[in-house]
Amino acid sequence: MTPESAVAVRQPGSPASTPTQIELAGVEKVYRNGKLEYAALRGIDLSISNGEMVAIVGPSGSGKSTIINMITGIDRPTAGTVTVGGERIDALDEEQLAAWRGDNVGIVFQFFQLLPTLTALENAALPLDFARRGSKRERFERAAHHLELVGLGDKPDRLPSELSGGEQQRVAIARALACDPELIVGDEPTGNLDTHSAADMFELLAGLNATGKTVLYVTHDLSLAERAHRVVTIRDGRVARG
Amino acid sequence: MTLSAVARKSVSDLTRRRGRTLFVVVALALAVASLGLFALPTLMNRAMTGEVAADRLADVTITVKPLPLTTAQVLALRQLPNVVAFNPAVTFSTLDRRGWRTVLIGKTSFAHQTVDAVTVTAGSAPGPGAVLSDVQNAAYGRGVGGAGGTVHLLAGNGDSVALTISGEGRNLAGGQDVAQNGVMVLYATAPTVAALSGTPGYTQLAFRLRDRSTPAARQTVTSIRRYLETVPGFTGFSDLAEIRSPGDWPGKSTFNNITGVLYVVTPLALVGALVLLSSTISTLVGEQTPEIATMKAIGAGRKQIRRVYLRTAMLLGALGAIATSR
Repeated sequence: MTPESAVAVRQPGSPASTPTQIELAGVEKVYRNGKLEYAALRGIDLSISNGEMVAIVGPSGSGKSTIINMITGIDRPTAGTVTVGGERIDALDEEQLAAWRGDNVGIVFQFFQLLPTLTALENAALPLDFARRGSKRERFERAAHHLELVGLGDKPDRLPSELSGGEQQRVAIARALACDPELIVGDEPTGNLDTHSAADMFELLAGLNATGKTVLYVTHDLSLAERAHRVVTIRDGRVARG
Repeated sequence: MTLSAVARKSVSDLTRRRGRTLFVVVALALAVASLGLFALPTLMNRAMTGEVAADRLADVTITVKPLPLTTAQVLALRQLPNVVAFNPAVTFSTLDRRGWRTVLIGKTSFAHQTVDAVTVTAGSAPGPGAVLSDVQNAAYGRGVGGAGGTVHLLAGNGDSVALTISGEGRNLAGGQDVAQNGVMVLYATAPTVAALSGTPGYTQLAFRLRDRSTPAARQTVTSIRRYLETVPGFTGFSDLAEIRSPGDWPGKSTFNNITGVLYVVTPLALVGALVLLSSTISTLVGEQTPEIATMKAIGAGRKQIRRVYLRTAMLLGALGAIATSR
């Protein structure tokens, strides 16, 4: 699938947005620890179109996760601009960023990061609580629908500790889908899964992309990376290829 | 009713560490309960003031060597300035057959008591040769049994005299004597006590005053002394006149000492419980740094996250308050 055709499968009725979903321009990130300085990103220019499925690869410490943190607003650039869905997110304050993330990005982490005391259904409903979407009943109904979508419709009351790694990551995907974001970001979403679960996970992400969502994921697994529309290689804080 | 996911987090953070939750709840409950102790002095004072009025507690008590008084003399003392009521009584300290120190208080009448009234709580008022046992005797291990029993007392002449028990009675000063001095207190008519002691006359002159202020009471004591000096057989006060300050009641100073300690301990308990609550919440927040980061990543604002933990703290507080009322 080409980026153009991905745009074409966008759901009808969804708000028109710029063809460019993500735009990083001259992004630098320097971490300071006392007198030590470490440049994680040294001028990243990256553009990702709406509906694209992009894999980010590169050696450990190359800056892959830092790019993800820039795009999701978890961290801020030292220099440069980050525009996502037409919004300059490097200019938002913490509160605005939290609300923006809840509405526009679904994040899937390597270690799932589910809240251990909440059930699968509650975990999947949590972003809706924070975004104050709908009534309490509607939130749970929506979360149940998303669990159904990821194949966990029969385990809504399980705690994370009662689910396998693959199942936990599915709950995390259901949670990422809660507010129906345009962008799904995975920070090594298959990194902690066995080959079989990793393949399932990739199918899920590809399926979401097919419904029009922009999917961006970091991976070490080159075979999974090759199945994206585009592979961006990062090396020493710079885009080496992509 | 189901809770929203975010509210469930506040609850499940408590149920996850049941032991810690229980400990904090108990500490809070104790602290809240000890707040109730602040009401104690007021309640006690009100109750005791009522009791003082009901007992017609004497404002001035004068102890003398056995002094016989005629009806006219009693009347004259009653008519001294500032005197509202006067009742003479006779006390006799002796031992009972078991060796218990016993104070026998002889009243002129049980029907018309105007000062230091003894209230009969069980049985009947004692007639000749009978005694009424103070209710506090039994409480302090000096029980002599109820109406119909017998108590054997050592008379002034060395004989052991059997007296029947007519019942139980209550009097503030008598009860205080039992509690503080470890004696058995019995009430009887004045002639019964005089017969036992072998010495006629009154030993305790109890007055209630109109103006209870200490200067007025002192002045009344002077006029009492002046009058008594005209009575044949009066050899002077055998002890300083006992003047009860207004609002005072037997045992008040002991009670005040105890409440004084409570006033110090209660705020400490409360402060301790609050410190415990806040440290529990900060520990909870500390051990949940990864969870907080996750909540931020899925769209929670700073205020929303703070509310999750404030709700947990309020839940703990509410549980503590509920535990108090149980």
